[in-house]
Amino acid sequence: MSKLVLEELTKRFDNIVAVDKISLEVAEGEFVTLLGPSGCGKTTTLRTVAGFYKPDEGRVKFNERVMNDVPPVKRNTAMCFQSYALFPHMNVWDPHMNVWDNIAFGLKMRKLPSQEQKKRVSEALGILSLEGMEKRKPGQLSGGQQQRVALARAIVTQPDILLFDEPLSNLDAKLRVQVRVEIKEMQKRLGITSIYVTHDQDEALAISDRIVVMNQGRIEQVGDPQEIYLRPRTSFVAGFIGLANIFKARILGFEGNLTLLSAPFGALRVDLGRSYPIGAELDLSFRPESMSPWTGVGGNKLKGTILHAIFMGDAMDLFVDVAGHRLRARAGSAARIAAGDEVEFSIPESTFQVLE
Amino acid sequence: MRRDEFTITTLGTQTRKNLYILLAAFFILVQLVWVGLPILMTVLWSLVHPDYPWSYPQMFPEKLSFAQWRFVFRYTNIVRALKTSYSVAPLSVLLAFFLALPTAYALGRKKFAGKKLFMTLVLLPIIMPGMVVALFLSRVFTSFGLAQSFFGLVLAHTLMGLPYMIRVLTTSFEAIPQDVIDAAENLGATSFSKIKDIFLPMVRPGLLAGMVFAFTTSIEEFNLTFIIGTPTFETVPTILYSFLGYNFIRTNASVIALIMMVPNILMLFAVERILKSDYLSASLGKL
Ligand SMILES: Nc1ncnc2c1ncn2[C@@H]1O[C@H](COP(=O)(O)OP(=O)(O)OP(=O)(O)O)[C@@H](O)[C@H]1O
Ligand SMILES: [Mg+2]
Repeated sequence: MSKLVLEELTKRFDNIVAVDKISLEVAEGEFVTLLGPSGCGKTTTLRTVAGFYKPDEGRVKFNERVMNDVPPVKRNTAMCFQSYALFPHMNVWDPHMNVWDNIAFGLKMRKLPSQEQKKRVSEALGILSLEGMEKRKPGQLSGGQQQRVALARAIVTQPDILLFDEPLSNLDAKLRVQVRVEIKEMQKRLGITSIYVTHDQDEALAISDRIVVMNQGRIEQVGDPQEIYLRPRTSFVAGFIGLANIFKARILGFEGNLTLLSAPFGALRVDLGRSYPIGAELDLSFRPESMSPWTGVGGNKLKGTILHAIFMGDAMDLFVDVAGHRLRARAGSAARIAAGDEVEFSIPESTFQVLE
Repeated sequence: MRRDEFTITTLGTQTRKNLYILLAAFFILVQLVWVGLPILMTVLWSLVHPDYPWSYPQMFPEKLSFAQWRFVFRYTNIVRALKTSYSVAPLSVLLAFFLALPTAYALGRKKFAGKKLFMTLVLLPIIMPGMVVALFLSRVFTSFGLAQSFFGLVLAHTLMGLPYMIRVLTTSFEAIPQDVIDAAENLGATSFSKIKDIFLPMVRPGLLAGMVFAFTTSIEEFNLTFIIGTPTFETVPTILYSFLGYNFIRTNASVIALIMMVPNILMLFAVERILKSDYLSASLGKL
């Protein structure tokens, strides 16, 4: 169990800056997720923590110890690779390393007693629904099964730091949820510091203690899932996680705690939590679920024409034209709304978020 | 109208299919003629009866016998040559293996200045005429006192097989995904276990292919052996060559050619089988 500290970490490939001055502190036993678009430097960050890359600048510290020059073998991390990286072979004469051998590899290297090895591998097989596949070779498994073997191989070692690189990307929706719950439970039980990479925002929101949103090698925002979702600080974060209506507005004045704004789709009364000079231009966002058909009380009242109404099972996804501006809104799944309808919406004063 | 079009398109694919079959048949035929016919001729020549010479208008020899085979085994040093050939070959393969492995590892997995140049140098002996290489090397061997010695012979054959071995192994080393090596290190693999569990198994196909190359090269090596080995050491090819050239005796040469060739072919089939199982097991979805 280790605390992990990254200090101004930079990693370049030729002239590409893959990771750009990242600073991050991960507490002992914490579960932190790196979330960001393809190519933003998530894998590079993990590989630098594992020791496969040497930072060009900055430091990697486990607890108080600087790890920059410690080889991967001595770091006691376990990584679940994006490419799985299963071992296809056992040795030259019997070239078949099966599922069991793969999962047990790290335990063998740690010279654990065979009783303990057996116990841990069996447990991992159970967690990942791989029972009965112990004797199969990696080449005889589906992509999702290979991925689960890769995951099992990492978690059985119970290292100081676990590094997951999109470990569930190839599983079907049901298994993905089931496995992520199991991972999280095991991680909490053993208190292993974990860094988790994913593209899937729902997964990130569900599993993380904290989320690090990355973009082009930099950190955009760090916060717990609620903060990231409800209080995005940049338009990138607002746009990347969930859906957001993003717009520019000018400050007209104040009314008690509330700020009066002129937005492209009308005047708004919003609660920004602090004051800005009159006349200032702000970038603002709010979530589609904050904008719903008016029920007769409070909020900003807006009238719009429905462009599309998409039934999604648990809700109705609406594309609305308000004074020539397109907004996304939500209605309950029982609502009877169709394209072309004129509908009055309300947006609560406190749901607006100022973006940097 | 519609129906006509339909017929035309099916006809089109049918014709194309036939064309492919025809083409395949043609190339198989060429292969058969190219490889099969000489072997068949060699077998027949080796079985010609000494009293019934096989000459032009005849399709087949009039009478077959093992007389040529008996002659070769009785009046030449073929048995001793076989012993020499088949003790030099495995030893030189072994030596080439130990020399090629670290070289190929460095070439396949490390970055260093002058790598391209080195690769070209390694391949040079393959593209240079064998006799020229032999002439150069024989001079070196002689000045080091390695001529007419068993070790010299093994070393000579090692050098002839080495380029193939290094080349094939380098490609195998290059093909190992970095992630797999990293995964092993990440899980705490020692250098020994990395070699045993990751590198050796993953270069196994290349290793086997390289060894087959080196082995057959050694069995068939003539130039250098002839210059630095004979008369102390005779190998199967030097005996074969004694029946060629000015004292050309096709029947005896055929016998020796077969003796030289058949074990090689058998070995090739055996290795092919092993390699096939390797490729199957190595066909990981995402590696
Ligand atoms: N070995 C390498 N050599 C050169 N450039 C690299 C290398 N590895 C990564 N990069 C570059 O560094 C940047 C970050 O790559 P990285 O693999 O960390 O992205 P990622 O966030 O993991 O993306 P993805 O979600 O697609 O896996 C990319 O622009 C990539 O092209
Ligand atoms: Mg990645």
